Amino acid sequence: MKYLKTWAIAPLLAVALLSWPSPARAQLLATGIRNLSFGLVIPGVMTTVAPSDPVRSGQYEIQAALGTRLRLDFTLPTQLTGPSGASMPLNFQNNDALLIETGPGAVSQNQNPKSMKPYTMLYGNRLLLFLGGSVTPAANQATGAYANTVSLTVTII
Amino acid sequence: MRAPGSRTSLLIACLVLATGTVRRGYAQDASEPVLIQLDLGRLAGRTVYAIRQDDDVLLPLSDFFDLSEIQYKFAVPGVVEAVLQPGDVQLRIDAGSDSLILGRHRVGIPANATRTRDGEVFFSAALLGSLLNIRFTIDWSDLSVTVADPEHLPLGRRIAREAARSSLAASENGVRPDLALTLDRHHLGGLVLDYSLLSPTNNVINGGAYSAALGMDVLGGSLGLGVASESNIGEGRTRTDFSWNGVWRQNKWVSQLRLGDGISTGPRPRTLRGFSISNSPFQRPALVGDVPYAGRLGPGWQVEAYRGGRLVAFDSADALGRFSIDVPIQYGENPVDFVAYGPFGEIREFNQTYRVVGEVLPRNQFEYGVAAGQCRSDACQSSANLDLRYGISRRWTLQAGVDQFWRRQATDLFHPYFSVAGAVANSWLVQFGVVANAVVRQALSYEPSTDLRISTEYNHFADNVVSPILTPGGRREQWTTEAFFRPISRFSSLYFDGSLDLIRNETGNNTSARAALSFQVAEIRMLPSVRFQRNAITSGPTSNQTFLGLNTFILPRANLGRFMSQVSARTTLETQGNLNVVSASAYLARPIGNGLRVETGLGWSRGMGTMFTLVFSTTLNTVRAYSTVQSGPTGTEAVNYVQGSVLYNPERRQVALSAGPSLQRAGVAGHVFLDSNGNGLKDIGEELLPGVRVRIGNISSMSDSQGQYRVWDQLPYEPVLVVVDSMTLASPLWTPSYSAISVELGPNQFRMIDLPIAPAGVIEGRVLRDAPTGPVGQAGITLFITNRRTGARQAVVTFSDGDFYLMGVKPGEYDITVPESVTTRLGVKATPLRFTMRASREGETVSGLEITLTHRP
Repeated sequence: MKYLKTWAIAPLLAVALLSWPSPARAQLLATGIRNLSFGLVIPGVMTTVAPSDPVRSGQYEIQAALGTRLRLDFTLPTQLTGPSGASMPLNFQNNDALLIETGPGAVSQNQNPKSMKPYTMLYGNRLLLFLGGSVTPAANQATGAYANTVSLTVTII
Repeated sequence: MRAPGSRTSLLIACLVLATGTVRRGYAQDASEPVLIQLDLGRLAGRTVYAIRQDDDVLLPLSDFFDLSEIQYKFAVPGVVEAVLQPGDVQLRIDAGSDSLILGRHRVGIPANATRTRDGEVFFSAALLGSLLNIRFTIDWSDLSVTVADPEHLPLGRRIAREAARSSLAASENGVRPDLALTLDRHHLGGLVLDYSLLSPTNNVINGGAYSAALGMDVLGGSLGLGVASESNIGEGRTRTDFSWNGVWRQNKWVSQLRLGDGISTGPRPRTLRGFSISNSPFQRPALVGDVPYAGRLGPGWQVEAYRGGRLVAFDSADALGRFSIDVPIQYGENPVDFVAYGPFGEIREFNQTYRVVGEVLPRNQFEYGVAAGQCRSDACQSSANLDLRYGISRRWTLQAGVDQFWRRQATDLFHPYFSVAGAVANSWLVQFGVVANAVVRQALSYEPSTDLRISTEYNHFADNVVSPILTPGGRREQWTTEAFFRPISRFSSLYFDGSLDLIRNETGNNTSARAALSFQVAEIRMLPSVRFQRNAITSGPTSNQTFLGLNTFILPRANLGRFMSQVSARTTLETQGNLNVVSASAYLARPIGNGLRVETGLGWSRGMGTMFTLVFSTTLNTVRAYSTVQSGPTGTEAVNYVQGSVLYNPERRQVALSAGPSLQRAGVAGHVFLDSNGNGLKDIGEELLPGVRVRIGNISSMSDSQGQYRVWDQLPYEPVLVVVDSMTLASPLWTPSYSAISVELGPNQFRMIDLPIAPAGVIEGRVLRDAPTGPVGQAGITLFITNRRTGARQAVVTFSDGDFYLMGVKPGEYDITVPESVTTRLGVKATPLRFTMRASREGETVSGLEITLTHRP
């Protein structure tokens, strides 16, 4: 059986409307924590990573003041690129994003990474965002490492 | 899925090719009736009369369509009409014609490809294979005709669905912990320190800032002590915070108590120094309950609901064609994709979504929150609030309460409030609320699918309040409307969104509107937008401003060489009036190592000039740091910001670092070891196992060379699952002693859990049954292997010769038994067998186990 080694890279952050973070002046801090990683995939077999996956899901962390209303906007690639220009389709389902604050009383919320709704910080100042996805390697997919970048833009509105 | 039209065209192309082949095959015509076995793979089969036509076979269409579950009828004797799915493609085969009709096309067929007898229509298997995209295998030696790939037929699709449903039913149990560790409350334990420091290089004292917070576990709760500069270090003003939080998750009436600094309860949170008490969970479970997704299809239809590509529920339409599927829903967005299957293989796809806002509680759940204390801002002297919520149904929640503010400089504020939030059907979301002396709020949202969302919210503010706290000062009305529309579901990156905000203030009216388009071509995403701003001041002129903007995001392009292929870019451009540029910027970013990233670019804005920016960001497990250099008309400034945590583990006397923040978080640490004596405890001399992955909550860790693992940033108080990934164990014979451990963690500390790995073994044996010629091996006998101490049971089935073999049997004493259902069915009795599996690093093998089934007298 032929295996392909693939991974997708999630942690690219882009922060808009940022007055550079400080304990006193910080408005917003966004960080890519963990790559969305599909690991070894088998040609012809779709591999899915759920946003709740403790090992392979992508993870971002956002720090903003209590009550801040945020616009979260993903720029999602449609494929992973591999050796010699080979590509592998990459897909994001409608509930592949999961948001959860870390403060008391917080509740995790599913979101659609393709159309994120504004989010208000209600339980503290720290928000974790998990991202899942799926790849569909072709039956004759070239062996090698595949990667791409996911971009998250966080804006205070 | 392809459109029906394209499918028809493809079928015709295949058919023309197949027809050419068949024509050559029929050049030497010789036909004879035969009795054959017609099989659809292993799914279904029957013996039918057919007609042999050289190497091809003419199959009776009624038998074939019956077996395949393809809808058909005889329009007149000798003429069959069928509907091919998916796509509702009409097929008409007339045995007396030289062509067939497929969809809107007429396709020629050889004259001897069809026959009719007793009203039945016989049709060439080769042509039928092309029509249905299946492959027939004909074996004249045993008179069989087999469809090699029946999964393309409605029957195959139905059986695949049923298999998926069985799988769903089997998977609904999920991972069940076989050990539960409840919260271990300490008088004193754990220690974490969060820190952050901002330091401009040109003026640390007047531009810098710091914060530090210490966290401990005191009396089973989280004690936090914090200090931070309120503005610049040079001003010397500091803010101190202290708090103690206790959580009792099983207590129905008091689940949370906070003393000291914290956030008030209720829908309008604010910081105060005092206390809060509540029965709401520390972290609310994501699952709200089951909500019906209903619709109408037609009698005999089946419908499946998928979430995230995974089957979550299924149903059949009733006699009136209605269906209703109860789908477990969670907070946030709940998009569900439906696939409906008609009785003759028809397929329809559609989606619905259901959004649950944070205010909603599960049905019959009551929660309260009380908070009171000194205000931490200048707006008030002290504050209190009472908040009550109740889930009156699975869709609606009522909320009521009161917010009170005591002030020195102005009159006190008293705000009783009431609100209701819920859904009318699945697409309409309604929220209505009244806050006395503050605001009346009405919100309506329509979201029938993931491609359309329209929401509008109207707020009418009270006008008799001096220096309001809960609402913006001077505001009278605000009407906000937002819309999102994706015209083609398949092109998810193409969508429109817009907003319109109408605000009426004491001093005038503000109108702002924004419309934006998003589309992505390969790695380039563009967001053109138009923005309109109108400010009408009562005592002054009105200003109208229109802005055009274009934002772009460019993901890395693989064909740009080794260095540039990891570079991403973003640009912004905004113009005003007659395309006068107001601002523009362009930035490039690239990772330059593990956890290190650099971004650089230029930004220009009217009046401010050009600003060069260079940012290094470092994100490691131990620390997070950002260095920014900005150079522009006002000079050059460099700023460093560092943030992290120090974690102390008193049990191990170890210090660890984390990127933080870590206050009121928790961790798990310990060893993974080979439990050679099977007692579940890490004894001296037992082997520590490196390279084993341990999953804890939503984070995982690999054990190091000393077998140690450590995971931080877990939620305290709530149970999390600890699971050893058995795929990372060095021997396939090793197995975790616990499939999963549920553990509740104390705040600000690690909980030590050593994870035993059992060196399991193999058992071999056979099952014999008395026969006149002597004992013979008995195939297909299920055996139960039961641990005499724990009662854990595994099952194994004998092979065709009666032998059995089972790996992964943990050390211990076991009984092997034959289930009573088996012995009763066979009319035999069997004596249980006992064996002992000893612990051995290489894995013990217990062989020669033999069970004899003897006839009951």
